[in-house]
Amino acid sequence: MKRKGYGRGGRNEYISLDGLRVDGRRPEEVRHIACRIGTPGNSVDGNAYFEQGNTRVLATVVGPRDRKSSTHRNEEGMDLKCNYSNRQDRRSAREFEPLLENMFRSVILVDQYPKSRLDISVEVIQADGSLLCAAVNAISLALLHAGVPMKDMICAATVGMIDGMCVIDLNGYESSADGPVLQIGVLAQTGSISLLDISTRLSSTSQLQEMVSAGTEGCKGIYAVVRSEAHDLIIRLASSRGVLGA
Amino acid sequence: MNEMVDVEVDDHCTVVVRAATRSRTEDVDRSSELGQMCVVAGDQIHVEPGFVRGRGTLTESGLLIATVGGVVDRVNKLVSVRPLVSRYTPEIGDVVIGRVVEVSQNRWKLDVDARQEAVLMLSAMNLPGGAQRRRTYEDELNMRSLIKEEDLISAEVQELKQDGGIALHTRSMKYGRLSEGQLVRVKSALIKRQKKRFQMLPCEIHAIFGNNGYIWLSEEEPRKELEEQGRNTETPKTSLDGRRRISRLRNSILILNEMSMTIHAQTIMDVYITSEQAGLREFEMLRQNVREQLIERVRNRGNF
Repeated sequence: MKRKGYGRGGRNEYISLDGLRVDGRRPEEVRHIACRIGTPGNSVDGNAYFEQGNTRVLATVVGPRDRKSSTHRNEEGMDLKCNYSNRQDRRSAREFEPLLENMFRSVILVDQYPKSRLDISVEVIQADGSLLCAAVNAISLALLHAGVPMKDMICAATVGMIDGMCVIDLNGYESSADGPVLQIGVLAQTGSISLLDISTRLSSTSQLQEMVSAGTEGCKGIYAVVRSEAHDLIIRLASSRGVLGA
Repeated sequence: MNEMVDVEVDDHCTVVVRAATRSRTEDVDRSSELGQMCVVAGDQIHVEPGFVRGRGTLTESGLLIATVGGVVDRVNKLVSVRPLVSRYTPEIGDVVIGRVVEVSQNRWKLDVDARQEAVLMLSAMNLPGGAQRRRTYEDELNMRSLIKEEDLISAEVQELKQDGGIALHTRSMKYGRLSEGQLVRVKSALIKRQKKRFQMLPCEIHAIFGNNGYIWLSEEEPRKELEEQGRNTETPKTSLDGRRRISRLRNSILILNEMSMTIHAQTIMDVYITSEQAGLREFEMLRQNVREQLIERVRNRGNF
C-alpha cells in the first residue's frame, strides 16, 4: 500500500507544491461518493452499499426482532449488536464494534423497542482509508432502509493534519502519514458531535478546533449526497405504491 | 428473451453491480408534490402551531422531527410519518400468519416477523370439539398434539402488551393450523389493509392475507375441519393443476414485492393473467428481464 519514495529526498510527500494531495484532490475535498440502498433479492430488513473513493463497504441491518431470553443485557430498551468485518485487518473489529454500537445506540430510539434486538453488520469490500467513517455512513443508510426510528442520521468523516494542513477524507496512503488523525461523526441535521476519536496527542486546542470544523464541513458534504439518495429511494417507493392516493 | 440468466449471488460484489445498474435507470422528481411529502429520518417537518405529534415523529425544542423515512401524513392536527419500509407493527384485530417456534407451559410462541415473538395462550384457542371449559393440566400436556414447533398458524391479534408483546387468539373457526398450501413472505407494508383477509381468488385458490406480510395459498379452503381437530385429519392432497396455479400466484406476488407495489387480490391477478397471456410458464416468471417486461405490460394495462 505504501508507495515508498513518492517524494524526493527520502521523505514521503503528501501535499505537492501546488497544494494538491497525492490523488490530485484539494485538502478540503472529499473523494467521490456513491451509495445504493436496498440491494434486490435480499431477505434482510435493511441494507446499504457505500463507496467513498476506493473504500467500499456494505452494511446490513436485521431487526428489531425478538431477543432470546439468554441474552438479557439491557432490560429497558433494545439490544444493539454490531459486527464489523474486514478480512485484511481482523483486529480493527474489536476497536470499531463498541464505538459503532455506542454511537448508534445514542441516535436510535431504543426505548421504543423493549425486549428486542437489532443486529448490524458491516462488511468491508475494499479498504482505502476512512473505514470507520464509511461504515458509519453505510449503517445510517441501512438503518433508514430498515425503518428503524432514529433521532437523526449520522455522517462521519476523517480529518488528518499533514504538514500543518487540514486534510479531509484520508485515503489509505495518507492514513500512514504520521500526523494526528481525527474521526468525527455528527448528527446531520442538528450538527451535534456523536463521535470524536483522535489518534495522537494534539499540540494545541486551536488545532483541534480547526480539525473539528473542517470535519463538520466534510460531514455536511457527505450528508448532502447520502440524503439525496435516501430521499430518492423514498420517493421511488412512494410513487410505485401510489401512496398519495391511498 | 430468456437468454439472460439470473446470476446466483454468491458474494457482495455481484449484488452491488446489479444494484448499481438498477437504481440509476429510474428518474425521480424531487420537486413534485410527492417529493415534498417524503422525508428522511432527522428532517424537520413544517407544522402549524397547535399540532399533535403522531407516529414516526419526535419533538425537539418545539420542532417536529421525522424519525423514520417515509411520507408525511396529516389528519387535521395530527402529523405523523408513515414509514414505507419497516417491520410489521401489530394492531388489534389484525389477521396474522405465524410459525410456531416454541411450545412452553401453557402457551405457544410464534414468529410473526414483528419486533417481538407473538404469544398464543392455550386458553386463547378453541379446544377440539369446541368444548367450553377450564384448561386442565392434561390439556397442557397435550399441547403438542394440537400445534407443535414449525407448524403454521393463522390467528388474530387479541391484545398488545405494554412492553410491545403480542397476544394472539384463534377463537374462531377460520383460524388455526394451516396445511397443504404455500407460504409467501413479502414486506408487510405492501399488503393492502382491507376488510376481507380470507379470499377466494378468481383462479380458484384460497388466499389468506396476513397483515404481517405472510400470505398463505392453498387449493382447499383452510380450516374447515377444525371442529374435528387433531393433526390426524387428512387434508386432501393438492392436485397438480392446483400446484401450478399456486406457483404462478406465488411468483406474481414475489414480483409485486420486488417492485414494491401494493399487494391485494386485484394486483396479484393482474400479474397472474398477464403472465398467462404472455405464455410464460411458472418457473420463467422470476427471471430478471422477464420480470421487468411483465411489470411493464401490467402497467400498460392501466390498472395501476
